[in-house]
Amino acid sequence: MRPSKSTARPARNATKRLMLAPAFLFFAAFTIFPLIFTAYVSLSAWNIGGRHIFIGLANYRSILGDITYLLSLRNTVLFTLATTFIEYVLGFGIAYLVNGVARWQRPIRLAVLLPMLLTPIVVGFIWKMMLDPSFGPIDSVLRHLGLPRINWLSSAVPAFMGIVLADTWEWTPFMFLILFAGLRSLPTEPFESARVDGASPWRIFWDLTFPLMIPASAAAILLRSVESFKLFDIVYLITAGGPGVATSTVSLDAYFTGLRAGDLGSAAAMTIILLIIVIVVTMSFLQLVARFGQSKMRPLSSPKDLASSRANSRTQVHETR
Amino acid sequence: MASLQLTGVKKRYESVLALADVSFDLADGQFMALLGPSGAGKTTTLKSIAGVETPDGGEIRIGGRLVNDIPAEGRNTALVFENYALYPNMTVYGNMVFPLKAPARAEKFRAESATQRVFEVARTLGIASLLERRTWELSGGQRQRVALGRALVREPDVFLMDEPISHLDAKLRFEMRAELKRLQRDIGVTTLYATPDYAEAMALADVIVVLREGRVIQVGTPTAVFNRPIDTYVAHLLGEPHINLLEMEIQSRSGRLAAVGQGVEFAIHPSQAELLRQRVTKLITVGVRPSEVLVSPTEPDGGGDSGTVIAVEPRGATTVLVVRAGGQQVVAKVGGEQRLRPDSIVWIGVKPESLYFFERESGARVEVPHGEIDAAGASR
Amino acid sequence: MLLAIWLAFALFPIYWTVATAFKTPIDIYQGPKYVPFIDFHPTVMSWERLFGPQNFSFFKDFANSLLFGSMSALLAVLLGAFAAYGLAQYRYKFGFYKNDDIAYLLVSQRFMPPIVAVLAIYITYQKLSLLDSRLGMILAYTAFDLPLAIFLLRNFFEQIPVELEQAAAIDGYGKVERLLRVVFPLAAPGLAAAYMICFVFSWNDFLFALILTFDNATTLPIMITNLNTQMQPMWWLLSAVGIVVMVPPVIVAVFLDRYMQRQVLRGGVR
Repeated sequence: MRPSKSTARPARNATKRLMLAPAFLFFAAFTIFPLIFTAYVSLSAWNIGGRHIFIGLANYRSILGDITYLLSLRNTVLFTLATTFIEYVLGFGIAYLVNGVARWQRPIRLAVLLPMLLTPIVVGFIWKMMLDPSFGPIDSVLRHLGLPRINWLSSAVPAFMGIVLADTWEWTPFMFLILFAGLRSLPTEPFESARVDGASPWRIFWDLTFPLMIPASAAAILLRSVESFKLFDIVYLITAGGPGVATSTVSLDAYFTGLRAGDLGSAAAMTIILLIIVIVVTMSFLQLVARFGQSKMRPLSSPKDLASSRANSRTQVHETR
Repeated sequence: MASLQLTGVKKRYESVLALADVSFDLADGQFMALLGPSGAGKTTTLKSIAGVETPDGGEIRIGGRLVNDIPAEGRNTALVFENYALYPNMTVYGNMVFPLKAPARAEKFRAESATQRVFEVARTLGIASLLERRTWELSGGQRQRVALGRALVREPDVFLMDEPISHLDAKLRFEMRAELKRLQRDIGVTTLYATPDYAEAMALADVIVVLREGRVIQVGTPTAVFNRPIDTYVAHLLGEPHINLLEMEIQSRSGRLAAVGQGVEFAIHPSQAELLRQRVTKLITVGVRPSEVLVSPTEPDGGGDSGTVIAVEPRGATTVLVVRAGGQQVVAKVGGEQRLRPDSIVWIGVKPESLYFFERESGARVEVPHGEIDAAGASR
Repeated sequence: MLLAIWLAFALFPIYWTVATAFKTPIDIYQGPKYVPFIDFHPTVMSWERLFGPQNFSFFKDFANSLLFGSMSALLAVLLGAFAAYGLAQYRYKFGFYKNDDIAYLLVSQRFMPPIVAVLAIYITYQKLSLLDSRLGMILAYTAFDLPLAIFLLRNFFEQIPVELEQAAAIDGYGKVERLLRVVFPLAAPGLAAAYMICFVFSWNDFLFALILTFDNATTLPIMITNLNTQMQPMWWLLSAVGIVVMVPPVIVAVFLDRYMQRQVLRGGVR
């Protein structure tokens, strides 16, 4: 039993509250208040000079009909799906590989984590530089390999791919971090007994490693996709949403609408929709995992089952004796 | 140096009632043991006295002064925690001098006298050579001494110890027991010592308080609590191997009384027969300490109860036997080496004056005169 | 091995940037060059430009980034420590909210896209004349560092056995003294780690700086975008700035890793 937390006497109560107070103040001022305020703004026509009138849901209606916004929305979703998936697979693979490395694990880990720690804006410009058709190395490497030139930044699809590339480079380490920690914290006994029973590495992975990693995977995927919805820095720097609006994201659109075009009302509405999407996705994901986790947890194949899938040769040996 | 009084102390944590009603008096300079299994409320009691836990009811007085509303820093107590709670970021010296630098005591212990005091205590405890070490470099025994030292450097009114030697190996524990007793005698500080180990309690204490689920069950000197346990719980708690508690019935046997149960019969001493006569044909729990069970490989004249040896546990100077007689299982502790093996047939018997009688439902002991028990009585 | 491929992929762009920082414009415009001393002659021209008189506001932006990062991290860790300590050692109950609920609430801020709040903050700052002000930026960064700090520190404080504080109380120390002399020193590694993470968090920010500053309170990421706007960005300058911006996160990463290793050793309680 965890030893006591003091039962509060009146004097203690004040201290308790005081401890939380400053943090809460900041929280209220910079999170709760802006949230409500932004919601209000989204329901008004508010221009950057400060004049505003309440217009109800008009903003929402107009942006939902706006092609730029819809494209941005589509891009953001596509983008999140693509990068999260790629980064998850890669991250898992790297975590697995690094876990198997005996020597030099620390420097390797450090090197793997490096891209994630850099300022996103810097990552943005690095890749813009790399993808530049005239001066960037990527193009020249492609040419040397005999592959066709790609106009990275001036056509829609390659630009999209370029951003995915940059994002993958930067954030795969994030997946790696979480999944690696997850791998490390797995108990060793099931694996040892599976190996003793002669299960193949493939089976071990699918029947043991992967299911056990579901919580960590869920966490990683959830966290990354939430972050990914907010995508701004990299796109701003590499393509600024272009060419045209091929790579525009919701955040970008909100920014341009609000602070360049001066229509804060619509911008606020865009951000509120984004918030709603994020909340919905998070909630449903958590529900999904909760239910999925329950059913997958129980019928984990026992090490015996794993062995039987490969055990035929063994039993034969026993028979002949 | 002060006396300690607890009256009706209660403490609840969320859904657990840690202390239901704890009351006892500890005289100035006495060594009292708080005996009970884990969960009995020993730690909670100690912490309430120290002031780091606040009871929900009852009074605590130190030196006659009510201290309920005085925070820990204002009470002059010292507590040796079960897991020592040494400050990891300080050296041994730092740990020991820390209490002396507290604002409340700062004027009393100016710089040099503080250092001197630490040296004195360290020397007494034999850790003077460790003063520069960091706490994680020390062994269990050393840490325990540092914890003791930290408690001893000031002159507390009450000295509280929470199972301080339970994490040491057996041999060290034995040595420390003797040292603690000697220390307490020398310094003469009022001490309250919590332990689940009855032998420790009996060896160290002037008075034992038996605690069970937050209640005080019995208070008395070690001999009193051992020889005149107030109920089956206390009887069972003290003694190793545990006292045999047998379910029997009082019956008349040609003018005399006997306790009979499942094929085993013990004669009752005539001096006790008076008080037990009303209980004829009533169920009763009979207690016999293993050391009082007589075992003979041959049938004694006058007959006796025969049984089969189920287990033999050699312990060097003594041997513990588990004997199945009739429907009862009896544990006996006999001296010397035995030739007895499992499945041997033996005869067991008990001297009538060593029998204890307990009410069947409540477990309370029935007072009957005992032949060789000393006159020091229980205080409850 | 496969890992080697990834490592090469991961590290190459960084190498490229470092190399580019030492090239002259001509080297760059002639097409990609890879190896120093063979393909091109390294030069410190970019660095001279940066530190020279016409420094493209490098010093100002650098100072701002440094200031905002260090101050906001400091405030966040300080305030966060108290909150985290409270959450770890006390039992709270505000209506239906208990400790864990409060913690989730504070941390849930991470789930809100900052852009939702930024617009409101922009308008508010406009009214309060806090736009483009150093104070305003520090406050904003602190607010967004706090949940991170609390999250990290709460764990830390929970690991400190409550007996240590109790021992200090019995030894005669009042609440404040106990916190300062015993609890916080023990949490020092955690405090340091939280500080470093918050620093990097603020240092890396772009959105807030973009929206809430123009001129005075600009930071290094802003400088990067400024240098980026032309058709022919000055890659060499950008690379140099980029390197500077990369330095603190890398340092923090190294320290954190080493600190994580050391986390296992603790004496004191048994």
